Order: sequence, then structure tokens, then C-alpha cells
Amino acid sequence: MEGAAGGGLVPWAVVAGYGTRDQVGGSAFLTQVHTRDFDLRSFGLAVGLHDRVELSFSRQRFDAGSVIPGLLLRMDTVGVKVKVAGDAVYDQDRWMPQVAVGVMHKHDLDATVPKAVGARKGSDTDFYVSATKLWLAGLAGRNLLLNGTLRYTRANQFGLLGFGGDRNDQLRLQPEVSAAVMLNDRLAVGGEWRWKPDNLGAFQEQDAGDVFVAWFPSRYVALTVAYAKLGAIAGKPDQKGAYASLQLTY
Amino acid sequence: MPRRTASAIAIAASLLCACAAPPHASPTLYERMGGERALRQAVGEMVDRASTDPHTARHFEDVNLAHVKKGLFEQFCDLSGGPCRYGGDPMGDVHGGMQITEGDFYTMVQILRDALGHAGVGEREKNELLRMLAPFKRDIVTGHAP
Repeated sequence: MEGAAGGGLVPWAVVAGYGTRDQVGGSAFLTQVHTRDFDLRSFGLAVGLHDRVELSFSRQRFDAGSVIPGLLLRMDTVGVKVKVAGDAVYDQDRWMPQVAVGVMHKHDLDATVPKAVGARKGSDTDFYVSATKLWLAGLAGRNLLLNGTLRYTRANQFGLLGFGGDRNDQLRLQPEVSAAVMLNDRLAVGGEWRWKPDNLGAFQEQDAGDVFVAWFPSRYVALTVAYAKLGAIAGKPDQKGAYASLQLTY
Repeated sequence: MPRRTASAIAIAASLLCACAAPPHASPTLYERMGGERALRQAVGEMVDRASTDPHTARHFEDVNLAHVKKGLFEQFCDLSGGPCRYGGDPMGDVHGGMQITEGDFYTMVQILRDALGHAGVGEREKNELLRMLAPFKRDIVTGHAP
């Protein structure tokens, strides 16, 4: 969702694209989320350099629909991720996961509304560390992927409602987890959960998660459909709904 | 000989064998993959494809393919609990001078996955075999692409 390689909601320690340590690879994605009251569209590109450094850019478009007619919040995210240790797939004889550290700098293009509801800033930077590992034949003979991410952030609703607020203006650690099972080479199912801050007095924010099915008709294309629970957003409770994402990888 | 006699001898032989057989242990990965037939087919296809694939063909020039197939079969058979003992050199020594790149290695993994599938090996068995082979990557990949 934010452009970094990983699951739909959570960045993983993997580097975008199929580039080996000698090559450059990349990916592009388009994601659409539709909850009861809101629409969120996100698209982006990522480049992976030598399976070591990832650069990503994404644009999020949050449409407040009928809740606040005409309200459109747009945000740009620029990310850098560096793999620092391990091999998620080939270190099958070790406990060590693949570990990466990253930053996401986010900038609200329409910061007036976020600041009007108490956000301290219209742009800010998240810092995170991720650990990802794939266990071949790890669950009932199927490949199992687990990821844990720790993010240092004060973003409100992923940054769409600005950064920091009257309740809290400090960067705080938020954990995020993902799990996926490869049913076969073409199909994976899984889920993610993201703990989130609650910095704005005006609008309560809750944790978010999804369960997903990902289909890989070829190694270059991935289509994911998910059911997402995003909690309360901008005063509207219980935002749940469908999520679809198309990703092309080279 | 008359059919009745042949049947009687066959039944007696199978009863004797049943008495003499050891208690049934849980099948090894080798057996679950399909044993010698499946593994020889998979290894054969793997080496044939790799020796002609543009990414990896250069590593097979002037190489005795039958010898490679024999060595690979023996090693996979040994690793998966089959009735073989791999008698060749360690993976690092075998591949040492070849400057195999990560790209070459990943191509081979895909070729092997496909070959196992064509030989009728199931998802679970494919994943289990690859789990055992994965740690060899660090011994095998010694080169960088130009």
C-alpha cells in the first residue's frame, strides 16, 4: 500500500523485483480499497538494486466519498529500504531471518484538513525494521512465510490525516505482522495486522488488518484480493471492505 | 506349468514375503517422491534442460552429462532417505571453479521445480526436497555476473 515490497499493509524485509545480487529489478502496483464510507487508491513503483537496496515511490488517494463530499486527501511516499542480513528463502538450516531497515518519507499534498483536525505536521518520516523468513514445507508440507515489522511513526491513518496530534506528538513504536501460506506455486493465502497510533483527539484511530488470497498467473503478475478491517476513520466507525491489488514484477 | 500350480506357487511366495517383511515404517521422502523412477526422470530432465538453457548452458560445455545425472541422482537419493550414499565431492568443490552466479542458481531451482512436477512429485515433497537443498546455495554460488 505504501510502495515498499511486502504485503498489502506491511513492508517486508525482501527487496522489490527479481534482480539478483548482480542485477536490477523492480515492480509496479495498483491497489484499490473500498470500505463502507471511503475509497483509497494507491499506486507506485519500486526498484531493487542488487538485491540489497530498494527505492520506492507511491501516491495514495483517499476519497472521503459522501462523508465529507469533495474531500480528497493525497499523499506521496518515498521509501528507501536496505537489506542488512540473512536470506529469507535459502537459509533453511538457520533460524536467522532476512532483515532490512527502511525509511518512508510521507508528504500530504492536501495538508489543510489534517491540520484542521489537529495534526501537527503535513509531512514526516517513518523508520522501520523488518524480519522475514520463508519456511519451505513449513506448514502441512506447504511453504510458510512470516514477517514482523517494527515501525517508529506518528502518522495518522498511514499519514493521510497528517502526523502527530494533540493526544500525542512523539514517534512511537508500532508492531506489524504478516503470515502467508503458499498453497502451491501459484496461490497464497494469508493475513496481516498493523498496530497504529491514536494521536488525534478529534478522530479515534484503531489497528488495521486484512486476510488475503494472492494469485500468481505468471512470475511477472500477482493479483491479490483481500478483506480489510481498517477500524474507525475520520469519525466513521468500523471501516471494513474489499481490497484488490495488481502487481507487476520484473 | 498348469495355471493352478503357478498361482499356488505365487500365493505361497507372497505369504512368505509378508512374513519376512519388516514392520511398515513411515515412508521416506525418497519413497513419497516416487522413488527411483521419479527421481531419475526429474534429474534427467533437469540436466537436459540446464545444459541447453541459454542462462546455464555454458556451465555444461565439455561436461559428461551422464556423469552429472548419476551424481545428482545419488545425492538427492541420499538426502531424501533413499538407498544411496553420495560418494562424490562436496558441493563447494564440485562447483568451485565454475563461477556460478545467483542468476544461474535461481534458473536451476526453477528447472528443478518444473522437472519434479513433471515427474509427478507432489507439492509437499517438492518443498521438502528444496528445503534440504537450499543451504547449498552458499557453497554453490561463487560468481558474479559480468
